[in-house]
Amino acid sequence: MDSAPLLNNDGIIFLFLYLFSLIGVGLLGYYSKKEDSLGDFYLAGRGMGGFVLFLTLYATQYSGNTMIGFSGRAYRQGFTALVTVTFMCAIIGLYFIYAPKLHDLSRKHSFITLGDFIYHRFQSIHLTIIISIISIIALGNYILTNLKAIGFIIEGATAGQVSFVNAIIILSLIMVIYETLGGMRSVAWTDMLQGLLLLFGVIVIFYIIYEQYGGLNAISSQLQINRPDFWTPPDWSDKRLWLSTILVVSIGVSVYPHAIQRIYSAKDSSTLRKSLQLMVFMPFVTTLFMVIVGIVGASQIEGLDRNNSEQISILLLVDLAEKIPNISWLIVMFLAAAIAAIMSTVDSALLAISSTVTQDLFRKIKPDSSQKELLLFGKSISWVIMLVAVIMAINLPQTIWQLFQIKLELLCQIAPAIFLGVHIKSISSKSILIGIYIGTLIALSIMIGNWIGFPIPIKPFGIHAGLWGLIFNCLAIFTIDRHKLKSSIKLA
Amino acid sequence: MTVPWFFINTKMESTGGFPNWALYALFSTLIYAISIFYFLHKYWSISASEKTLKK
Repeated sequence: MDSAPLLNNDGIIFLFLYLFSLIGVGLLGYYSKKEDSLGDFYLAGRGMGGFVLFLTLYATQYSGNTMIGFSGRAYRQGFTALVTVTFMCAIIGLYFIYAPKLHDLSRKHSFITLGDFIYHRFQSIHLTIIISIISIIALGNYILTNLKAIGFIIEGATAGQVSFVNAIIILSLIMVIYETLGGMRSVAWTDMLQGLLLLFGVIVIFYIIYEQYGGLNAISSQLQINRPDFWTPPDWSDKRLWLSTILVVSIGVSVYPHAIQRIYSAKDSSTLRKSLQLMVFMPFVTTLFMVIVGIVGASQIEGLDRNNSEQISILLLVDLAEKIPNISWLIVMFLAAAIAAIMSTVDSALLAISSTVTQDLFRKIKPDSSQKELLLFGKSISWVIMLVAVIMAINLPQTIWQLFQIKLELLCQIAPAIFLGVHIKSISSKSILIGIYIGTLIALSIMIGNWIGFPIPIKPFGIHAGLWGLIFNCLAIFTIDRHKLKSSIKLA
Repeated sequence: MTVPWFFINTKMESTGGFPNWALYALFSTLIYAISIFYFLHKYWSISASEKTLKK
């Protein structure tokens, strides 16, 4: 990218005004609280209406990867990047398996965290703690990678006027302030603004790029010359990988602890149902648009390497702004939307970790703590987690950074506890626990074994390590509980 | 269903700017989304029902 800043001073001022306005939203959340309780703080009093719920689900589900990663992938791989549209839709199909019942159970038993459901269902502290720890590690990794991304985006956009370190510190501070002020209320309301900005940003950027460069129809003949490989259908190994990607991403994302908290927060089941019905179509106006932007980019700008291809959207916008100076505001909008997408994901993950540590770990050790003490502990934990995440994001050497890419592979291993646990009473905590241990061990062995040089592919037979883990995880469950399951089937 | 399993040969044809196999993947994803929309509407209460618990 050029060393000239993408954002001029006005752009930087606008961006920071927007960012600091989020603290105002946090204050609104603080003054709207009904009581000092974990339920009110972490689930917005379980009264989230349709509009807010939909936008907070949307903003949480679509991270900075949507704005940057998906178009970069499309630039490099062409139409096979359409798999991203499929897995974003598939996630909602998986919610359908468990969300209706989990929402009802959460109302009946006042769940706050995923751990609450696990403990209620399996009556096992061991299982609850293991699932909580896996959730915390996966969410922590999510926060770290997103913080790092936000640092690079702002440093790149301001050509170093705001450094990588300062960008991470300022944005983390803003997030932790509004999160600890109003909890889920503040996070959901800021998500609402961020979701609108993301949606509006994607649609406007897509429309202008599509219009200016002539759309897919117009560029397809040029693409057939520049990138004939885009027209080649995936071979058998790529098709297996396509299926594996859909499964590993949709299963992992569908059990995000912060998404589960939004299921608990819904005002009623009808509100939740309508939000999910709308969510299933959002990949067609978000993911698909960014994939097309990447493909249009491939027809206009050739020869970008992996890192530079991640900036294809912004390169197209810069190219357009040079031809049509009036639309340079689009660059500000793109950056604001990308930052909004990242922040809405990080703040939700932070809230989920804070609630998990407070409710599933601290409360188990100190069951007599009052709601005020628990709240104080939860808010303090948010600051500590953010501080640790900032230090790690700034200082971690690149050599161990790979370890923090492990998220979905871990989350996949807790999926059977939720999907099967919600519907099948005869599944025991013992089988779920052994399944998690086996699945996690297999997934981590494949990934780490590959990284340290063992002759094992990162995706054996075109299947992700997390999915191999999940296959053996489920096999363990069904083997251990086979007799109980047989009687269940007979009873049914 | 959404994976373009049956497309093997490269054809430089396109519909609406998409290669045929990509259009198939996109269209089948749309069908999937419409189905999930319908299932959420029609079977939400069944999925939520205590009766689905197998004792």
